[in-house]
Amino acid sequence: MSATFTGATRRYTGTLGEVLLRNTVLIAAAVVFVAFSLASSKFASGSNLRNIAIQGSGSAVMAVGMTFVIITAGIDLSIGAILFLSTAGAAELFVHGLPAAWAPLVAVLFGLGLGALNGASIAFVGINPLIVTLATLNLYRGVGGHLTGFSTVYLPPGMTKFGTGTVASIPAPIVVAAVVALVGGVVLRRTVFGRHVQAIGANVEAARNLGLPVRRVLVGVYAISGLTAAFAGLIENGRLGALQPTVGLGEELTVITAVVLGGTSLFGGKGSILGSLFGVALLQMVADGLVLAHISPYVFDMLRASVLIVAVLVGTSRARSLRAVPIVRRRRLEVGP
Amino acid sequence: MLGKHIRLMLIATAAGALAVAVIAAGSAGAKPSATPTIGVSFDLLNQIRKAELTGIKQYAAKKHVKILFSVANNDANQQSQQIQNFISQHVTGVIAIAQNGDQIVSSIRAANRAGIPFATIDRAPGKGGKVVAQVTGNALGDGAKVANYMCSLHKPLNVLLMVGALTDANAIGRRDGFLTAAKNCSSIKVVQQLPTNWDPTTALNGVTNAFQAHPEIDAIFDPSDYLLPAVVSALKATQHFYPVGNAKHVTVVTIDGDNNGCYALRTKWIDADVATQVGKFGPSAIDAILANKAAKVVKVPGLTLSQQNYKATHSSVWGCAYGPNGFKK
Amino acid sequence: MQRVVETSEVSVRRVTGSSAAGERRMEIGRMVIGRLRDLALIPALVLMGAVFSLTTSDFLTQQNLLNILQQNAVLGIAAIGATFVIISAGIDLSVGSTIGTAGIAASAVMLHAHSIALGIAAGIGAGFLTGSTLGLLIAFFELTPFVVTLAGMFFISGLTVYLTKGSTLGPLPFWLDNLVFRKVLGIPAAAIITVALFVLAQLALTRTTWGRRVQLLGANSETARISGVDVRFVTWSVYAVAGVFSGIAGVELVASLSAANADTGAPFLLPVIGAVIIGGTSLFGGQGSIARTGLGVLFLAVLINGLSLLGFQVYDQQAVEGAVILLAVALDILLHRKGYVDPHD
Repeated sequence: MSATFTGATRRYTGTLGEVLLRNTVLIAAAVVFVAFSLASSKFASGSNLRNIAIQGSGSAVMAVGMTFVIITAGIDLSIGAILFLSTAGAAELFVHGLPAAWAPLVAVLFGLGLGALNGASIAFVGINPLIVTLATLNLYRGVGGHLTGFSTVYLPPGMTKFGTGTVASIPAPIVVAAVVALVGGVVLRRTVFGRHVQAIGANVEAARNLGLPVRRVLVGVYAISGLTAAFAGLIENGRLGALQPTVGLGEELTVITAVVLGGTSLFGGKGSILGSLFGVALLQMVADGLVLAHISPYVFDMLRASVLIVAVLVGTSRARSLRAVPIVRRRRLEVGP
Repeated sequence: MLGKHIRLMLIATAAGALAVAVIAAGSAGAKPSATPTIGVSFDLLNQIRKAELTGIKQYAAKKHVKILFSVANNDANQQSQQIQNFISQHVTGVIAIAQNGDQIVSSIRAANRAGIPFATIDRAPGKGGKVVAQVTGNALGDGAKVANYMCSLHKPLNVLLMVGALTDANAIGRRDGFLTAAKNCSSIKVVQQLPTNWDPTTALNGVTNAFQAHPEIDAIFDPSDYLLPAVVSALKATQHFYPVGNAKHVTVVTIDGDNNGCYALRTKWIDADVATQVGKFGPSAIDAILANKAAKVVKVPGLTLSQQNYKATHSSVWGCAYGPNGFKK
Repeated sequence: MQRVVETSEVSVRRVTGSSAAGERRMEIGRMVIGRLRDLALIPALVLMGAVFSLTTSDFLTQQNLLNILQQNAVLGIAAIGATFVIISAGIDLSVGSTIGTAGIAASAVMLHAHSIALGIAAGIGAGFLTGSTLGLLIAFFELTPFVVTLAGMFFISGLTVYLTKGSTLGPLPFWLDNLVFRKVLGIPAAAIITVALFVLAQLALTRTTWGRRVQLLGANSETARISGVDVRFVTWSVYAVAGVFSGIAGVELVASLSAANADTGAPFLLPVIGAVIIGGTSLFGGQGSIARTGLGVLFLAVLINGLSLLGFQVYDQQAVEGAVILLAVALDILLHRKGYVDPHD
């Protein structure tokens, strides 16, 4: 069953601006790729592309989760901290006797739980997602720091295989990213849950009026975000071979920029996982290119911030107020099968 | 007549002023205790900071000095407030690792005004305040020691020069010290500089990409043991990881001397580690505070621990007292 | 088959129950909660102070109490601006980055133009510029405050770090101590400046037409528009004003540290919003006061100070601070939902 809202969905299925934006990231990524390939013969080599794919896989995985969150007009700033804490919890249990084979599952469950905690505060208590995840960003990292004594903790092969292992000679990070992206795409487009997510993002009041389980879906969305952060943790900490207290710091900014760049609107209602992946690819290529060209790292930070603000301006459709109880004008809703 | 909230504010302010006046009349605050108390303010907590804190606490215990400890979580404003609280608690002295060398000066001057001796360790403060001791490592010297060690190997080396955060004076010092000393050594050639912002993932990606762009790299200067897991993982990922003694071994020299560096030396992954003698920071600072005389600027030289001198030297390196955490390979 | 459903105006206040007794209970409940919100904070503050006084001898000293006032000047001044924005039912996430940038601007001018007055003007001007720009985007392009100020926060701090290359500007002239530490009648200058600004702001909110329009806008933008309020201008103006206060806070911050760095302002975002909400101003807009924010600032200030004196490590302090803010926000929302919050205070 689908609902169409006259006067509302018209703006949400591909206005020119949004279609352009979604294809923009594709075009931009292609342009950057071609430019870098021309500039350096080593850029387009198989091993270099493989490197870029591996290096971007952590962010790519988190971008899938973040896409869900931003479609509901929310935001999750705590993913870097969850990346750290989920692995930290599992690592500490391992040090105290948990068999290494179980550790990745434990890390993933931690991620799910930490994300669900965010979601519950947002959905059931009603606190603004920014405030909740800003608070948990500090809280989770602090807890992880205490757990690990702020020191480097080496990880067993059972955990590092997500970073350094291979599956049929394809590097594990790429496989994990591909699987997560695929599953995420299917869930978003083909399941009832995914449709609910989009409906809530488009108009939460209407969704509520239709009887959608808004609160449960919101918890689910943030739980997914935490889940993907845990996977990213397995990848990135696995690649390092050790868990370090500053891992993932600030990565949420790259992920959010990638998702917005990919066409997902911060106002909610529409999003594309594929677009988010292209966003990650683009940012990763630019970051690597800048380092190769010996350009100051501050340029990337500045670039990333500018990209975000431009993407926000360009992707504008309708202003959605922060108020929870909007003043609803007389509006015609068409409800039907 | 007056708005309700203005009334509220005036009442609150009046009550507050009254309270302050009463207390001012009543007490001069907590009497400074008989035991000397030193307020220790750190910028952050990590492996090396914990070793510095241990050094301070052990020496303080020996000298019967009490320690108040605070961590500022990389927030210079927090640190300023925490030191201000120490001052109002009438500590005998303050030891600080500055989050920001220039922004700590106002805290130093506040301590000067209160007549409380101030010592800075690990990070040098900016100008403008009077300290009784400034005990730091020698970043320039340590960087030079790395270059000198590499030179002593007497084989031509193409070096990947990793750099820490560009806002960290220690990182800049280590880089510059290396570059200056390397100029005098014909066998060292710096092939690429890699800023890492002290971030392990950035270092991992950067080193991997560096080998991609410059396959001739056969030596790495890693300015901190914190980035060692990243360096080792990058070497493994690019099939350049061979232990010391192997013909294809990539020479790796680091700085800090923490438990991971010591472990890496013991297991023959790296060639040398210039250890910062953090154990000496605390005692120097505490002595200076208790003596409360004119300023002492002490640059504690690093101690090179290498494959060659491991047996003789490792007991003097702070990190070797601990093993690595977690899974031991 | 399609059904067309017409929804009618949803009013902010819900009508619950049809019985007269029920209505009266609601009314009394609202009065009580209203008074409690007005006054609950003061007893809570006093209680907290009492607990700290008993558990550490360092809390209830003249020095420490004055420290609390002086140390929280920056937080207090920034919270004034944030209060105006939140009363208008908006939000400003860029406050932390604006504080840092204003400090950089002030320092740069002071060091290069050798003029403290010009530097202070530059700092306040930088704050006005950023607030004004964000306000423009929100008011005239009708972009969501949340999104705009979020992107703005990243952009402003990214730009400042890039321009300064992360370096610190200083040392600043020691004369700036007069704006912070110098005692007038025993009270640090920072505290005097802050209280003066609080009084001014409260008067502006309650006594000027502009202030009333801000409240009206926050309560119901449609009604405001119908009553002839220039919604765009008022919206723009609250962000510009918030920018000015962030600018003043930024100047105060670098004056207290004698040096400026782009990062120094960032930690203020959460405490600023937290202080406003703890003080009793609702995120939903339409009600609140500057005085209340002052109480909220004091509450957080005493909390952090007490925990610090008791030896809580900063990570635990942050956890407590975060938890308290979350609780305050949760309470705000729950009270609003139950209809106990009366937008017209």
